[in-house]
Amino acid sequence: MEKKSSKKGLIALVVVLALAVAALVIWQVNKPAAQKGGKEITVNIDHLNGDDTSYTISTDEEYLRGALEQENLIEGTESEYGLYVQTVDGETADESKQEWWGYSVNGEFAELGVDSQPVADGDVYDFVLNVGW
Amino acid sequence: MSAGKKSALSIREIAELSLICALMVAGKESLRLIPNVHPVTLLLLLAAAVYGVKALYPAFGFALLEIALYGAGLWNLMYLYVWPLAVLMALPLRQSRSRALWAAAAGLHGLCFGALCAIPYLFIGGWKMAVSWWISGIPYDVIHCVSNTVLTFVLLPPLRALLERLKARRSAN
Repeated sequence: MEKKSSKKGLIALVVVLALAVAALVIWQVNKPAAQKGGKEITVNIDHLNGDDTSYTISTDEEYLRGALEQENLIEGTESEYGLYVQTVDGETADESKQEWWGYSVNGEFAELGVDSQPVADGDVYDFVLNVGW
Repeated sequence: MSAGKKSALSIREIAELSLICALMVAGKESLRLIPNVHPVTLLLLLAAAVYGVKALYPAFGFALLEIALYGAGLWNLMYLYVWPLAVLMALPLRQSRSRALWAAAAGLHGLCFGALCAIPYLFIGGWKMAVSWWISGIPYDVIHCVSNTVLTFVLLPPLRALLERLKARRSAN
């Protein structure tokens, strides 16, 4: 009985590991394509006090996080799904006031975090400090 | 095993389940720098194995404590179903002593974590948003899966034996 249960367990374990591999394949096939080589992007930052700033960044980084960290523009904490951005251009979102940083890519609200957002030449990123969940 | 059948909690069970809940928060927060490596699923499966359906108490307790720590957000809703689901998934396995089966269950929960958390996005932005959100998090789900599997494979059997021994000693007194 114990042996049978153990065999079932091993089969379940193999199935789960196979599913994990399948999930990685799905991610590899569907992940947004990153562009290699030099790129120039524009990053606009809408501060809460109205002091808006704009940066033109030349970068070889493939994802937004790397490009922004290269210029020391963002800080945050590692979360289950990558960097949770708390500070942009020196301004930290005050969570007790329900403040949070969001961003758009070429005018469209971003669906990906900065770790997964691929950078393409000519992209424009608008960061806004929002208030209210 | 009787604890799982009685619906009322004894004072001792309240203390023990609260301790498990506290360990879940402490374990998650102390390993915060390593994304998705934590003993939360292990402890929930352990609670389900030993206390049965009463493991839902630490599952909800953990979600509420995390909400108290980090404030409001969409993830609040996700936590209120994703952790109790781990308990519900484990309940049919209670009789099993196969460490591989328990490890597989823990791994499956970690692997499905992102897909389960993507459900609210179905209603916010449709299936496209939900699927793209799930896919972008797959590498983190795989880390979650592997860490849950290893932690549960190694630690669940000895921790379960320890808790059951303590319970048996308590019943004898």
